[in-house]
Amino acid sequence: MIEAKNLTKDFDDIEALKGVNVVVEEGSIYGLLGSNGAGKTTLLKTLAGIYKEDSGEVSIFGERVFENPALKERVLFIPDSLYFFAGYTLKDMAEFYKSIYTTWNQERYITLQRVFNLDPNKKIMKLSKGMQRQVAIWLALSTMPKVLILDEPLDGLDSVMRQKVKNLLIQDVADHQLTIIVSSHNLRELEDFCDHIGILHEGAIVLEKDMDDLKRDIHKIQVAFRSPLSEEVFNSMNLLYKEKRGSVYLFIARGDKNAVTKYFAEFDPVLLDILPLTLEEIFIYEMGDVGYAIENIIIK
Amino acid sequence: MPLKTSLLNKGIIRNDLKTLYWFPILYTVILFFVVPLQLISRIPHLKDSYPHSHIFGILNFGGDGTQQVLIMTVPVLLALILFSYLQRKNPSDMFHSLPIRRRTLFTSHILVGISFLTVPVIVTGLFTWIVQIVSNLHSYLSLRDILLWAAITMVMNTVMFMSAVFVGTVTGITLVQGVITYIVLFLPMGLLSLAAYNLQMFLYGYSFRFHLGNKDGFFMAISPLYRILNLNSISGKSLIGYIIFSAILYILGSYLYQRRRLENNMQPIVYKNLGYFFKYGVAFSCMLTAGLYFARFEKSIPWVVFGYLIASFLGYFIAEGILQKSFRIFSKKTFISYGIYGAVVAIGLLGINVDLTGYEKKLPPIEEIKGVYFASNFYSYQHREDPNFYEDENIELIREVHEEIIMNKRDVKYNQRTYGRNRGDLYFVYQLENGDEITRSYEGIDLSPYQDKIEAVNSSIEYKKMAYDVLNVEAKDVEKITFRSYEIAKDLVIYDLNEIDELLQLLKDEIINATYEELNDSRIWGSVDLLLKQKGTEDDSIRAESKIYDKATQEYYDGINVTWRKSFDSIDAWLFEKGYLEEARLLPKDVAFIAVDIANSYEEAKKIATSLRENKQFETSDKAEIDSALQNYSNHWGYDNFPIYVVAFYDENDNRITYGSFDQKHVPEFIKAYFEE
Repeated sequence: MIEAKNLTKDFDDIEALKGVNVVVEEGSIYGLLGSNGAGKTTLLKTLAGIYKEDSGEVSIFGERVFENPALKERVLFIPDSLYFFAGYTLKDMAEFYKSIYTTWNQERYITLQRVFNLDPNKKIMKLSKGMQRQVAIWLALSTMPKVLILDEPLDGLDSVMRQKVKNLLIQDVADHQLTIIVSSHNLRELEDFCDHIGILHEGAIVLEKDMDDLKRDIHKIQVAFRSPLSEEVFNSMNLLYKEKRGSVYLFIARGDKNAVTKYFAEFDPVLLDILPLTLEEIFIYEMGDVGYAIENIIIK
Repeated sequence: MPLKTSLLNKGIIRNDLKTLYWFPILYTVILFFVVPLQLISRIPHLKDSYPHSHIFGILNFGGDGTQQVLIMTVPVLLALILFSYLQRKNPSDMFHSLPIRRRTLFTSHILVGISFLTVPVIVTGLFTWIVQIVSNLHSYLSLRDILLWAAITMVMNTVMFMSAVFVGTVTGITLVQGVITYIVLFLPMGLLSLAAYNLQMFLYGYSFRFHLGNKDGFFMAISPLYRILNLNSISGKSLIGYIIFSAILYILGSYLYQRRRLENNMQPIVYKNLGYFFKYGVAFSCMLTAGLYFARFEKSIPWVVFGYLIASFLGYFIAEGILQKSFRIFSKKTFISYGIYGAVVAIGLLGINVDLTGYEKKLPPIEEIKGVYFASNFYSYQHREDPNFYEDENIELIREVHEEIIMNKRDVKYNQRTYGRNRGDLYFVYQLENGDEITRSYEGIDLSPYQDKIEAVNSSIEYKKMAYDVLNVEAKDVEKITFRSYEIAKDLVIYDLNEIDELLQLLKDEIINATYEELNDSRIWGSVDLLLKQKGTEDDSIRAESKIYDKATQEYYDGINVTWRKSFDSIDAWLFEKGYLEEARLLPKDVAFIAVDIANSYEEAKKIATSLRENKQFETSDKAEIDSALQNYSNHWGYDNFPIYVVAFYDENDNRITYGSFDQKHVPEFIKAYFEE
């Protein structure tokens, strides 16, 4: 379990993180969503033990991460801007990781070569940005991590590679109980990948959701009636949003799909449609006022 | 995996070796060129005389300074390279996400760095040793010389390296790390000197000379860079001191690294509080430098204060700009914190000005004074064995002079110096009964109010015994006495023991009985040199300066020079009696005639001196007049008053024997009368 409790972090005069609380269960993929400058990178680097917490606590498997080599051996961080030693080939870099991580698995490294299909004798600096990212993921996975912390990992990958990497990571989660925290400024990128999503806005988590719950329990309902209904009818429901266009009502409601259908059917509607909601819409409605503020930034 | 928990990480060390293997190789090659190869190239010269001068400088850091430059640059460069990851963002993130403690990273890189600096030195030392054995250079340099060279180079390399590494733990930009490293290594000395120079302007009686003048050892101790610049040899004790210093830097650096906020990488200084230190430090240094500049060229306190204000303001805001990496620094906050600085400095200056500590008025009670140094120069304070006055009469006089100077403070304060004849310096060093020392110096003050008392002190026998070594010499120690006249080429040398005895006594009597004025008169025949029998020891550096080279034996002897004054009548009489006079100095009978003219400038005097004969201004061949002229002329014309009476002496063949001038006080009557007409 990865946990951040009341985590704060100041950058001189700026409060980058203002009391962040995050819990990530083992074996899950947690998507951290936020605009640029929301504090994603700061949070991830603190989780990875690079930055020291100003106050609050960061722990992985119940231990503090900062200056904890035994734990950090199992926690791999891949930053958004990568660093490799000048003039190093992939092989050189692998050797470096091998000398640092006692958990290094040479077989896995060789197996993964087939997946990534990169020449180990090529100088890394000469590879494209997307290829370099693959190198980082390849090396990270070869150390047999228990936790992977990825800062904007899919940036710069083409769609084929993106899918490949996602599949590989999901496979690893399934096979090795890997826990992944991944950040992005793009909701759509995380949609089919994460099982939990947290939204970080101005240094605080404003929303945290289980993806399955989200999609199951929220509905968009279009309904029209012969004669206007009293307000009480709607008030008894758990409505997130209500709009009237002519005689057609548009509701966003929470609850079991069948129960909602049954409820409206009793009033003999002329029209009753239960429509699917996109993830973006869900977030915007869920977050209310905050949602409108960051809608334009995170949901493109 | 014992290394895992220790201070070293094999992976990091191996990686450093892999990426930087070229560094020690390059360093070894450079050292090879600078040391063993130099030695080999000079072997052919060893057959010449003075073979040591050819070896000199290779192992004792003399010569062209290449080795000093290497010590000052190579370790710093290596530290910048090894710790560049700490000054950037991406490599810093990468290194610190690895499962390695910060202290382990720090120690591993340092170990690599020190080995890279040490192994090449050892290899070079071995090469040199082989050269020494193969070429049989044992008599010119020993194994000990080689070992000492290696030890000094390695230790000073380590000091430079650790300093740069230490600075790196608080900086966030490599360039800043490099610059601050050199500043820090020079700062203690620079700041202290600047502060002392500035204090001298404001504190009446304070002089940097006593506190910081000639304190090379102290400066070397506090500023390693200064030590390296003046490197020749370092004692074992100092080497151990430097090793301890490096160890302290390691411990402090390790602590600061541990607490470093990596998110502040790319900021010039990652510790906010050190930022204040930096800003105020720059402001203060700029302020003092400007103070010195204005004191030198404007010489008045308002200008100095103006300089303080401008320079500290500039320094502060430039430092602020560097810290914020921006030109937009003029905020209320920065002005307030500069204001605090200004206020503190103003209070400090005011405190000095009103003499809060009583420094300026301090005068030890007479009963507490054991002895006192009192002179118009600083030199004899350092070079005399015991430069102090102990006789009550003199101490009283000196204290009175000091008291008057303190009372006259208002007239001379703030560097307002007098110029001209009466300008001079006075130094006081009181040795108190309780062992304390009080030092005061007053430079460039008007000495005329104290002249009587100064003369009284300097006419005392106690003073003369200090100032004239001849008074402390016994005839049996004198090998010979040489009279060197300005006018005639040949010297008169007295070897006879009895004659030496007589002469020495006459000289002593003349000096003891001479007045202050006589002893400072410009009319001089030449010098009387006493060559002492006992040869001085080689290691006595102070006395070596005063050694006299004897042409006869081609050796250096200890000797005493006595100024041969024209007022020493008894010497003249003795020489005459013995029949030596004409060998000793120019006599009227050697002079056919003299010519005199007046000049109104030094340039004119110089011109006249060469053409006196042609111009025929005033000439006389009267022997009595020639004698009077001889007795009264000086062989220079460095007077403050014009006109200058230039005089030249000629033999019967019209050749000029010598020339000079008359001080206005001593112009013979017949010449004065002629020119006044």
